[in-house]
Amino acid sequence: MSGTKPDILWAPHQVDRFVVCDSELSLYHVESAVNSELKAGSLRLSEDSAATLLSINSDTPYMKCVAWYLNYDPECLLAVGQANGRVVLTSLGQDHNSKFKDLIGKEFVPKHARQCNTLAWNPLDSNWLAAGLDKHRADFSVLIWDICSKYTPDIVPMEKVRLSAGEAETTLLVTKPLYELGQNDACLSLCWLPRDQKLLLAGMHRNLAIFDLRNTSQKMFVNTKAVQGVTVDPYFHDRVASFYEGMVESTRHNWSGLDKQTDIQNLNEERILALQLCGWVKKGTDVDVGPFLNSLVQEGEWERAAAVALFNLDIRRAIQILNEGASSEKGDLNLNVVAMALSGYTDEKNSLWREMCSTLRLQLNNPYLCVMFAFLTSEAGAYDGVLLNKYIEKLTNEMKEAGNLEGILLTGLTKDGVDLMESYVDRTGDVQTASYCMLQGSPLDVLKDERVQYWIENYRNLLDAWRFWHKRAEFDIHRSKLDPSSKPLAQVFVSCNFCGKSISYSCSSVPHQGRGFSQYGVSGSPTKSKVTSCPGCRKPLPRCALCLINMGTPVSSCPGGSKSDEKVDLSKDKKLAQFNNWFTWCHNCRHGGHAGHMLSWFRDHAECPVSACTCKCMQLDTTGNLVPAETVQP
Amino acid sequence: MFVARSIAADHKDLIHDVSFDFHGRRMATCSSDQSVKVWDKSESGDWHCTASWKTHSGSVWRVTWAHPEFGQVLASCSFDRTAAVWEEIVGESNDKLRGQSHWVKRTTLVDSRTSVTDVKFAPKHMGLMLATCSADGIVRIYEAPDVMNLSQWSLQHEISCKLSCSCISWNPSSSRAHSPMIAVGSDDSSPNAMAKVQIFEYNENTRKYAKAETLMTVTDPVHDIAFAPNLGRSFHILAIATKDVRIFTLKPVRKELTSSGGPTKFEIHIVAQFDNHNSQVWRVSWNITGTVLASSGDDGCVRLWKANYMDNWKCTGILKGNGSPVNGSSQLGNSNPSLSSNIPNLQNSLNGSSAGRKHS
Repeated sequence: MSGTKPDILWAPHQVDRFVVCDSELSLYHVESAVNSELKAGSLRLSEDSAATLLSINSDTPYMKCVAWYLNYDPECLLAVGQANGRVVLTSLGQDHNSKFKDLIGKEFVPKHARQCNTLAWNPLDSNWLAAGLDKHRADFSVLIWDICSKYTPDIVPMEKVRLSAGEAETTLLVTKPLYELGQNDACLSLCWLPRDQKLLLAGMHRNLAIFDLRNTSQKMFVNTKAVQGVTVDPYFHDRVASFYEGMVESTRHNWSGLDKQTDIQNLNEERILALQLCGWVKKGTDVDVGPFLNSLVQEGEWERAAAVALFNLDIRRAIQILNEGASSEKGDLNLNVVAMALSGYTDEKNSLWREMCSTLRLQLNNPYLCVMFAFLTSEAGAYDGVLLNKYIEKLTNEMKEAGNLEGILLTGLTKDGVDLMESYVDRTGDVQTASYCMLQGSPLDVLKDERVQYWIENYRNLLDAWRFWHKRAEFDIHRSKLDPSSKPLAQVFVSCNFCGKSISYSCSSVPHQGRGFSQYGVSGSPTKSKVTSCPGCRKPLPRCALCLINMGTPVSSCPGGSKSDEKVDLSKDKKLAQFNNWFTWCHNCRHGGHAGHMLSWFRDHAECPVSACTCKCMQLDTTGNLVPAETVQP
Repeated sequence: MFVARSIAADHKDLIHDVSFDFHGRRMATCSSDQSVKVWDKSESGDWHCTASWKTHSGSVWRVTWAHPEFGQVLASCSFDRTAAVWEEIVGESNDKLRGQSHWVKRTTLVDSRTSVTDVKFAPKHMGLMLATCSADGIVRIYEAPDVMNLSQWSLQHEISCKLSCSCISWNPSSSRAHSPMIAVGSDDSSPNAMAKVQIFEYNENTRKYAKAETLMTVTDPVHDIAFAPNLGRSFHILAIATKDVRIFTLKPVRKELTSSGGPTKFEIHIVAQFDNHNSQVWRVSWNITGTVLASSGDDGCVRLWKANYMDNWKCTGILKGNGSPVNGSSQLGNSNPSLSSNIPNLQNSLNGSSAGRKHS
């Protein structure tokens, strides 16, 4: 079709024929062609099949859409919708049966020329053809034609239809449609509802509309963007699918007279992924669900396998699996009864079978059996409702009571999840798991829950008591990344001896609090810009009490000290050497210097290295004598 | 596996109490010889006595450590009707291993008219606070408003228990859902004294401690009482040393259901009662996670108790006072290294041995 993608249509009654609609119509026949030689004009379809060209019809240029006549006779009648809105009947058949000769070439002409987007033959009355056209301010977008009707010039004046004089002579033009529907919106897709001759589903430009031809004033609209390719589910006639830009949408209609409700579900990607993960939907059209079913059966999960088979629309296989299950060793004989019940499946909405199944299925203990019958007896709205919700609720409550952490799958890391975790901690006292879990995925408001804060605090206390200070610090760092409010503010700053201002003012990454606090100490990292004098008054920074070098002077390696004493493991961590270059001060006497120097001084001395200062700097804080427990194997 | 280490304590009389500090690296013992000794654990695992001094003019019944954030602080209580608070001052010597340290008395609490039988610091989230209980049945709660000045303590509450008190325990839970709570045990032997365990809870509105519960089923003299450390549980566990070992759980009933302003109502269940000691149980003590209870009795044994997933408590170890295993005991404790060394020595005999869990 010029300007659009080619379309392929299978013949409605012959499984081995199809038509390719491009700039012309080409009829193909599929046959097996195992040998590598192909006849001229054949297309190889697969290793063992090829399509042979039977005929070509190039009578209708400007093809926009094609629909195959649904009856057995004539076989190859096609309706073609054109760019000017005319619908033409044409044929690919070799036999020109005179009975239908007058149909071939018949044209159905709308009042105003505009593109025909879609065609749909009525499945019940084979003579009815619906055409969906682009919008016209003075015309309808959906026209229903009776292909057996004749041209009646007195009803519609010739000028209005812009027929040439020659065309008017023939009886092959029809200008009056049976019905005209849908104004102000282009029609993009059409589908007749299979059970009712008079109900037409149309994907209009802005909504999905259902036209009831019995009462054309009554229309029902559903606002949705998914208006292309609307089709009715062949198994569940109240389910309709349509798409828009890659998203498929499924709509359900509830008919009770003229009182219609719609229920929209989004069959979007995530849902499909979840269904695929459960194995309920095939991962691809070429992936067979058979091996999966076999593996389930081998593990004795007959109910689940039967449910999966059913979801893949294979009732026979489901019944077969249940029978297998009943007769196997560990099987449940009742499965035979279930299979029997399943085999009575009927499409009829009001049948006794449906009634019995929908009431009795709640008595089935196994969730898969329950769901199978729910699937088959589904009414609109009740489908994914009551049954599964109850089961999930019950399961969630059980898990919460027991403090079973697998219940997290059901509750998520939400307030419910906190309740579940509380049960778990009550049982086991395991605050470590609780703290890490809640920190990991929870939104901030869940983190602010008192109980979660309590667990985290207790866990930190426990780590402190065990002297796992490094681990606790790592935990704090991890925590402040996930919950920035838990980061403590800097509490100490270093002020210049001369001007009294904080010396880290300029290189501090933390914005100033009003009090002027900033980072403690200056990092020895060579990549950061060094502060070599007070930013405020440009006077030199304090000196190290031992090596007398001003703070901020770059040093290449750990200076001074007796290297033999210092167990500096340079292979372990470069940061260790860096820390030795950091300045540190005694809070009591305010003297200090390079950390490495101070540490080595206090190994041999008790008093401060500054002359006339008798402060016993190292001994003031006895906790400092405790060795962190990092070397202890947990 | 348990390894027992014997320490020659050199106390000249009975040792009444042993207490570990927050990190489990320091130990204090007190004795009828009126002195307190402080022991430090070296990196090699040996205990050295780093201080020993006379603290009271009578038998010292109990000794307890404050949280290290307040410094190195001890409290002791005695038959001489006083309780005292001590702080460690940095030593003078140049010894690399911090030689002998010097402890200074910061305050003496003299309000009691009878022997002070227990002293316990409150959980650190309540500030620098301690409680004492006396044979005259009064529990006193003191607070030091300025944590830098350990000499200033003021008596904040006096709770009358009507029975001679023998032991107290603070509820360690720092959850905001739990009000400060203190359990008091009595060893009163008079015939009309029935229920021997009372639980008092602080009421924010009246700013006083009010009785929340009485454990009616405990009618024998109580020698020791201990709340389990609460690492996140929504309920409390209380262990009682009486003629047998008893463990109670206290589940707070949701505050919305009780009238606001009144004390919390609790659902009290007894989850364990063991008379394996076959004699008076003198001490109960919890491990750091509140999952293992140690008890000691007049049979000279220490027993360890642990609950399984279904809340069934069982004995998981028996140790003799001298550290040797009891014949036929099925399992000498589990090898779960999460148990810390906070299982103090319990009531013991003259040679001052201790059974402790070795750090792996």
